[in-house]
Amino acid sequence: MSVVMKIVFSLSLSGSLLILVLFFGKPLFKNRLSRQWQYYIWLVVIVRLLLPIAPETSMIGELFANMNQAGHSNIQTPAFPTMENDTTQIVPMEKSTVIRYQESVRNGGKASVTEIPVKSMKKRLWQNLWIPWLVIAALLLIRKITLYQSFVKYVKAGHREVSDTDLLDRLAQVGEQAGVKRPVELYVNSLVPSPLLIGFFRPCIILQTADLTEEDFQYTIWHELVHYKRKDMFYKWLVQLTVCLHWFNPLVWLMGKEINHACEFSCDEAVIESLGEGERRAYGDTLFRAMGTGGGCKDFPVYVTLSESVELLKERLRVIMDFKKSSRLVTTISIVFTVAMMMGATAMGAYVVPVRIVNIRVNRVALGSTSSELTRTEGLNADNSSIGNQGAADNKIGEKDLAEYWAEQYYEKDMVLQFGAVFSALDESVQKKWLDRVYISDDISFFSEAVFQLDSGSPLIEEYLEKAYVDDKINYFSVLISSIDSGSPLIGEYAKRAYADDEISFFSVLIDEMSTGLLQSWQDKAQEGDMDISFQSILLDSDDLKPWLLEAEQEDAKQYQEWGITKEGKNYYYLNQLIRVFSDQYDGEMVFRTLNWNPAGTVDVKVTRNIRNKIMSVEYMTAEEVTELFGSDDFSNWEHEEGEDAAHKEEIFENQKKKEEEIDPENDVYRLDAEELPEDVRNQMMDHCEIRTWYIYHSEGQQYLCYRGFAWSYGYQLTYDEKGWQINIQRFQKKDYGDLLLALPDNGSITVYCDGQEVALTEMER
Amino acid sequence: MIQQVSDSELELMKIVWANGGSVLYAQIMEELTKSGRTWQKNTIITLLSRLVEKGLLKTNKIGRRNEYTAVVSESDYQAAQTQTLLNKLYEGNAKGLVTTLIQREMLSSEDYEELRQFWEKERDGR
Repeated sequence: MSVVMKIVFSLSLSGSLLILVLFFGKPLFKNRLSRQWQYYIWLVVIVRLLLPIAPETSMIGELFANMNQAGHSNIQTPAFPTMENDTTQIVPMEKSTVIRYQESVRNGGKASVTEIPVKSMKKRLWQNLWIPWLVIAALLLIRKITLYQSFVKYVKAGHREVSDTDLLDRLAQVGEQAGVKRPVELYVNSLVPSPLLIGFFRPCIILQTADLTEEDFQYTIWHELVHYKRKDMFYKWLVQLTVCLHWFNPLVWLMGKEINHACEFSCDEAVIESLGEGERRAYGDTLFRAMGTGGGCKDFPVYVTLSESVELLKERLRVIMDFKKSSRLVTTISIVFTVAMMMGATAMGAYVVPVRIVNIRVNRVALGSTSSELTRTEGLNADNSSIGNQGAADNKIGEKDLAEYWAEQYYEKDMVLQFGAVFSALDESVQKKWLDRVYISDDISFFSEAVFQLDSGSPLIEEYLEKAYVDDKINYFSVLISSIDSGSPLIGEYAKRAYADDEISFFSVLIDEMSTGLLQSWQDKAQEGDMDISFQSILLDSDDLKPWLLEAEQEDAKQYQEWGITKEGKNYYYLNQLIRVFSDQYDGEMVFRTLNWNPAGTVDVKVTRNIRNKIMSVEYMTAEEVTELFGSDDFSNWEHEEGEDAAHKEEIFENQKKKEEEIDPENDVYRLDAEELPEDVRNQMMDHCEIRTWYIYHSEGQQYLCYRGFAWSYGYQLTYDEKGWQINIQRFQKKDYGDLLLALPDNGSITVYCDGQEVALTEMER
Repeated sequence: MIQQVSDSELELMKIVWANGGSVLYAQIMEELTKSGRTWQKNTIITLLSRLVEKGLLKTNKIGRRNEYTAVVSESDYQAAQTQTLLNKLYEGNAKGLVTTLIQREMLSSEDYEELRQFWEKERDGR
């Protein structure tokens, strides 16, 4: 039997038990409990019949689960051992998913293939039983709706509006009494079977005749307005929907009828509650007379009437005359019964499909795939619980389905790491679908995360390599190529191809991934000179520098971590504090492995290492040490040329440079390129300066400090006093070449310190 | 074709016309009180919405208040009603109507003279 039908039948069965309880209990409470209660208690039953929600273990749920085991044990396969047995957590399901999954269970079962045809036919019939069920339910509902529409049309066709303002006034007054604020339309149609109310939002009372006694008019109107006030129309349609869905259950039809009657009784009760003995009799008279004037149409289903049939009317008249106000005891009993019904409905439960096992599996898969990387696991841990909970709430089933669902969710929420984690749990076909999608929508981050999750030998990688190459998408290509084994023949093949196609960018990406042997062979070829100059240069440049740098970097990171230093992007942290000045220095020498400065930092840290690169100590730097290193521990006077790895430094110094200019434009000190020198100065310097010598040259109120072959990035600090200029030059990073050229106002002698050592200056003569 | 309206509805229409063809609910209420009517609020709203349905009024929301505007002018309405009367009672023969009016002295001789002059002028004008 399909899961849908199991759910429906289980709902119907547990609803039926509740209906029986109310039917058999009716003689007990009929005259004792309020009619309102007798009307609204059915809502509990309706909820039970409509909502497939149940606690973990429930009577009906167990029953259907067991039936299921018995029915399916012969086609169960080890591939799905726990699916149907585990009913410990029960959550509602989306129908289509259920069916799909159910089918996959069947298809997965090898036994089903070998089953004899008749049996499988029967099974298929059971399997598809939900289709006729749904079709009939839909037809019934449509019929009820169209019937109602045609009834409304029929009523409206023959109606006349009541234009007697006295009647309208009384209608308005009764409305006020009954608590209906909205204006209510009043029509007369002699063809209606009894006074009635139509319209959900624009209420409209239709009388058989306006020629009524004052009392009759008032009670009739009142009764109908109470219907409107209590939204009985909605209740009735809810009942109709229930009846349609449970069309196969006669008890539900009986319930529908019972509720219609209870509706009238409770409406009567609501009206007479505020009436005295004599008025109640008058109300009864009204009911009785309304019966007599009945018009032509009988079979229309849903409308709110004043009277229905003789039997019912008799009963209603009797109830009206027997009316007693509820005592406190009765109220208490009503509450107790209500709670009992609700608990009964809950305990009875229904069959709903277990989903828990699936969640556990996905979690395991997700974690398994991420345990290798710290940040990934963290990202997922935070989300594990939500996968479970939301997965259940969103009615999804199936490990793959769930993973698919979450892939979608994470993709939409732009959660790349989590996306990668669930991506690994997807089927290859689905993975391909995703790769296509992110490739087409050009989401390189998702693409690279996805590729990262693929096996290095996955055919998908090969496929997309080709695609990226053909589409000339170098970024996708580089993501893909770096995820395959370095020994893969693909690298060599693509290198040849890129070379042949003159695709230097692809070629350079490939060089990075080449094994040493392959790279060597290409370099040999480049050495021979028989090669395009650009290819030649990137091949010969590449050397073995890159792997070496990478290794060194990894080694550094490892050592740093041991000493409590971490690096994130360009920021260094020591014991989780952002470092301002970070100096990594060889013991006793002014040689730095790393020198980093971050204005946002809070601590200054000095790493000292020995000549074999081992870190010997990590200490906080004293202010003196900072001063010694930079010439000052406040950086306000610093001007600085940017180191390649320190863009933020440049920014800071740029700002300070501007500030200086603002403050003292006269004392303009600046560095400059040879090209910027006045021509005579340049000629003089370039012609006469030797390299690695400090020169001073005076020209037109300016003096120039020059050092040719100063292959460092550097910063300098200036002081100017009565003794003249003092320039502290600090070297930062080695460069391939470069000159040091500074221009200063010619208003004092110059003393230059480089890395703390005073240097000898040569005055250059014209 | 203008739909038939009840007497109470016509009374409301007259208020609308008398106020320049456009009134707020509060103004209607005021006028009705002046003329001694004590209709319930919902009664008036029901009547007004019937007039809207019949196409004699239209509503405009001004903030939370409804402004009712006449779609049909008073003279148009009178003309249409007279036409209905003519068709019903005199088979479209206006002379019959005028005859009745004069015979039963519903039209005085002064009125008649005035009408005659009005007619002459109209005819010459064309």
